[in-house]
Amino acid sequence: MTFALPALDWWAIAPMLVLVLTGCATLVAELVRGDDAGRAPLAWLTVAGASVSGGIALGQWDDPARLAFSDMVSSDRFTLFFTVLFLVVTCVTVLFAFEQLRREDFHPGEFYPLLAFSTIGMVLMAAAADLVITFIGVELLSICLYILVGFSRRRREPEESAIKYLLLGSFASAFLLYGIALVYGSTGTTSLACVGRALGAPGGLVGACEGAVATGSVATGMLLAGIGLLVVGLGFKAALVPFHSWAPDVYEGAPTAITAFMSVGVKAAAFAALLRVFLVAFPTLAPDWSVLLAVVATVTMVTGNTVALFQRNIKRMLGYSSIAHAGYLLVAIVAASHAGAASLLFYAVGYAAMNLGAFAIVVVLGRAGEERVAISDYAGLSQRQPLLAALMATFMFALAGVPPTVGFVGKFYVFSAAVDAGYVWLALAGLASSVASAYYYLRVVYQMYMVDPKEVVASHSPHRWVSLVATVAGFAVIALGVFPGGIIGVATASTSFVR
Amino acid sequence: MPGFPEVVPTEAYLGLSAVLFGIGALGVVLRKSALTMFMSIELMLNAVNLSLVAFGRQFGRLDGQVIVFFVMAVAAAEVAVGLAIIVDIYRSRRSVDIDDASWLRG
Amino acid sequence: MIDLLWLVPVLPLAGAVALLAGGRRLGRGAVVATGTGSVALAFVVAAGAVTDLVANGPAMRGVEVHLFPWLAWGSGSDAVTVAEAGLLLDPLSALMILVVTGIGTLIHLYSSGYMAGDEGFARYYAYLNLFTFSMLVLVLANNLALLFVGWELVGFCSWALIGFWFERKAAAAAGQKAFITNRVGDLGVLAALFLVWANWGTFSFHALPGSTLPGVLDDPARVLATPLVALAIPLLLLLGVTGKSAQIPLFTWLPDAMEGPTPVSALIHAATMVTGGVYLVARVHPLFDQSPEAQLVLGTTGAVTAFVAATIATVQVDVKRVLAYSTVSQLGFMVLGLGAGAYGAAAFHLMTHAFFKALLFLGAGAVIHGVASQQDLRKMGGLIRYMPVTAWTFIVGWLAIIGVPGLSGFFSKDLILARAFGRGLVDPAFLVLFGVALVTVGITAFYMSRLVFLAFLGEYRGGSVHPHEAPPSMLVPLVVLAIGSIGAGWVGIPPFLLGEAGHATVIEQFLAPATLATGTWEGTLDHSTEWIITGLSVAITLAGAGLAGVAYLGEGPISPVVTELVAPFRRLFAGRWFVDEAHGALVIRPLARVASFLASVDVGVVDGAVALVVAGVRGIGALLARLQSGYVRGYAVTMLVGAVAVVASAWALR
Repeated sequence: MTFALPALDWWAIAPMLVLVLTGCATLVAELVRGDDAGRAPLAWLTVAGASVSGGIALGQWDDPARLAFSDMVSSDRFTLFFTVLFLVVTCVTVLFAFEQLRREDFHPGEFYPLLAFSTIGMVLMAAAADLVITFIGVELLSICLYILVGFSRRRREPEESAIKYLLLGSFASAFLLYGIALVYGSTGTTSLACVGRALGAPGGLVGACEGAVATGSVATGMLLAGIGLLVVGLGFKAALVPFHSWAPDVYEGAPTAITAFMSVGVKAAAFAALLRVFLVAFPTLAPDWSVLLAVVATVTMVTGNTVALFQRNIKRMLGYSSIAHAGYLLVAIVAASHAGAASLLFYAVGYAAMNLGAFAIVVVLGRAGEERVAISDYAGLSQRQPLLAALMATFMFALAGVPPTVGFVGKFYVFSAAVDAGYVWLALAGLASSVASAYYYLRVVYQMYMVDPKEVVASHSPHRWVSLVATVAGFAVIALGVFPGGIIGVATASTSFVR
Repeated sequence: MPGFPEVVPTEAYLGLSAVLFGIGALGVVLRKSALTMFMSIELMLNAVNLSLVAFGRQFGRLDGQVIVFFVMAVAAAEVAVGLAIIVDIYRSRRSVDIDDASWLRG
Repeated sequence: MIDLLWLVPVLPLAGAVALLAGGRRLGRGAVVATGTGSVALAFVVAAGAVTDLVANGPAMRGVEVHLFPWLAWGSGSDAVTVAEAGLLLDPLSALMILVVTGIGTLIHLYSSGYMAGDEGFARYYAYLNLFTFSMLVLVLANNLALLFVGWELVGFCSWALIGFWFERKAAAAAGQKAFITNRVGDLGVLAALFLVWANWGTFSFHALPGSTLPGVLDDPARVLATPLVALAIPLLLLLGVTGKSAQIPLFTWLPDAMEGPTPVSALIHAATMVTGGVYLVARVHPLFDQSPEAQLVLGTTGAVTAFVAATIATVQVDVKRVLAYSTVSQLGFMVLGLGAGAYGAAAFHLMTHAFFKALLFLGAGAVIHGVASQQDLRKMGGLIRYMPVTAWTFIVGWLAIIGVPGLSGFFSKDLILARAFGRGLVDPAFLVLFGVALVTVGITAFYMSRLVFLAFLGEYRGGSVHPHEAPPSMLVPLVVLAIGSIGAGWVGIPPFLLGEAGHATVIEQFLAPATLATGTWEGTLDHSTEWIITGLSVAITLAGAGLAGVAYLGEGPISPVVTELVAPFRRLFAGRWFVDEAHGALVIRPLARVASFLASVDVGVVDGAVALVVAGVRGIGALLARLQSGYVRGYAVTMLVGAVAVVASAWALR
């Protein structure tokens, strides 16, 4: 008895397959060489695998957009755009982690396969053409992260981070799943495009929609409740208020490398999924949900920017800052337009540059154990490490949205998309809250440049790779602010499925 | 039997599912033991599973049931990792009272 | 040379990059040469470009240089540029680039002496160059978005330069305050920016080549479709002006900014950056022309600020703070001119003010340099004997600012007064503002005279410190600026003084293509009225100066030259009537009381309001932070409540 293997479009998921192989290879390699000296090859193997995967993704850029694996994943420029972004984030995280774990003298090899697998989860979230795949992507990402956030020699804080993230994360997953169930119950399908068609959205990449119930664009209460639950589930990963409470605690307790990974990569993945779900499945209901999301965005921006004023720990401050930035990103989805989607992609790239740069400095200055992460630890940095201080200042000004950095241009794109969609008040609210943000970002700069160092610390030579990341990010932050045209062009081409 | 419908309507399954989901959510909020909270979350997932099966049955299609298998597999993985973390916490603190884990705040 | 216009901002930027890269490896000579040379070269290019522009004739006085697309939507060939990196050279920006690069060069030169002993010499010059670049971006931008980039960058440079002496805690705090205060104003500009975007879909002042969209200034009437927006855009821009140009209610940062090095105060906080707000209004004046209400708010802000700041200046004892309040007050005059729709007159005063205020600040710097960093007027006195060049150039600046006929301040200030009066013929509210401004002219004469009398005349009160004259590198800029302070006004001699027909001055005619109001107000004065206004303002000036003479020249030997100088004032006002000191006190003490009251209003109300907003923000933050209790179950409750709220409102949307 023989089974005919169905014709599968393996090439469509090649970047993910490479990552799977990378993860497995590091797992095996770790078994073969269990000693600490064997860690560097694991790190380089991961970076190499991610590079190959990214190379394939870049090579697929001109492939036709299509659905693959029984219409479960979409292979289009949107997927590729985020794949490349995630892989860059992953590589940077590996460099951060390598530096940090080496310093902490705690370097289990499982770190690298777990990181690779959670990257696959992120790619799945961006590629999902079906709500089930969205769910699986979220879970794959989360389950790996539950372990990674507790990854440290220290016990108390990382352990607490892990249990908080675990309980609240699975709590949120239940909401996400319930949302999927209700959408399925309302439309008879979980395929995003089929849901969209059932709700009267025009064309696009649609597979066979057997069983879909055409409901027209009039939504039932059950469907809207399902949409609300999807907002809860995905909003948790994106750290939208009021589903954000975990973020500051987990960001503070997790190893800095993982904090950076989460605040940039996971957030971008959550927004990729939000964008796919809302603009492929529910574009016809935009008048309904955009108001809801606009309110959530406002609350998120205000909360992030006001609570950040009180923070003394830089990781925690960046945690609240990332909540505020989630609010800005959500504004792009509220716009529910092609311009809004393109601006979201642009902002995700800019935010990655700014935030990874800032975290690179945090990693470089960190010490084993206490990690030296109080904002006051940055006092007088400009005298000891002028280049690092200048880079950090650049990132802080960029995060505050001062031109000509990418922070300003990104906000410009996002808010003008909202204005185009008629949300002038939302843009004004966002601007007002971002003004408050100057205060807490500047506090870091103030410490670095205008306060004398508390103690004479022997300046250790910063790890060259992490310093390189910071330098490249610094250039990117300025360059993307002065020449945003290239990325916005790519972002526009990547979101052509949005109408 | 008079008074009982021959076929249990989908709404009844959905109602039960919603009630179970609510009980699970309340369990997460009200219980102090990390283990019980985790069990409550599993209850929520299974409540959704009930809904999915009911919908699949209503549509006369199998995809509802297929999704449930995915969920069960995912839940199993989650439980494995979750229990490991809870055991780890127990080993270092001799307690799984979640209110003890409140160092990180503000 | 208009093709080379891009070099004007790029040269200082290149200088800044070179200085930052070179850092301490560069010798002092190299630093000064790079810093000053790049700005001087930019001045030469700017002068060449402006010469070309003038040669173009009035009809062609607006040239755009397109560099590269900056903000765009879409990809590839479908990309639509909404804001490019492009430069606009018209009479208004021509005036500005000459002021910025010209005075910038002098201040760079001066700094080589003033900052000679400082450790961060290269860093200082790098920031100064970066500032010059930013200011040039601000004034040369051909669209609002790029203008805003310059606007923010000058704020950043100001922050860096105020905080330059970070060993001084007050300086660091002042830098911080300046930046945060300005962020509030920037919010207004940003909000206006997005309203402009919502109305035009572009930021260009004039239509981009090949674009179907009209520029913001090509079609200002477009906002009229929505009267609320037509009012909101100017008012939001005004908020930005109050921040950048230090007007009520956001002016408190400027006096504090005096903690920075004095040449910085001269360049940024007197001659150039603070005029950014005035420039912005003049640049987009068609938007203001659409809304008489906004113009009235603008004019009122200016007049009230001018008055309040002038009274506060009368009681200051720190020489730099007197000049700082004086700057706020003079900016108020410019804003009043803008409100009256006399954009050309405001720009003219901006230019003359740049000369004499830079002169006064640099003079003050030379004084501070010469008396071992003493800034207290009470510890000075009689300095004219120790530092004659500084003193005499300072006296030129003094005469210019109070408006002695023939010097630059006289022409520009009177032009604003005349235009405000003219506007008052149509809009009576402006007559009140004119009156306030006229009184302020007198107070200005009083406090500036007081400053000069206390610092340079009378007995030296500094004890053991021996004052000395500044080095030549500092004196040369003083002399050049003094010549400018005298002559800069001659391009704006009103026709009635020359016995010619007409009303528009030469400078206004030159600026007209960029600044002529598109409104329809007609307030032309006949020549006799103009004579009366001028006479009135001169009389009030002399009264104010005379009063100061009575009050502060009472005792001590005064050099015969000065006695000669102030004799006319004495004869006019003091003479036999005001010798009585009690009488003088009758006027001066109430004035002092009003001033200190206003100063307390400044601290109490304005800072109070700011503190209230800050407290509100902090309150919200503290409340939300308390929700972050650390307890997982608390978080789960938050999530559950949030989920119920989201689902319920989604359900309600049905």
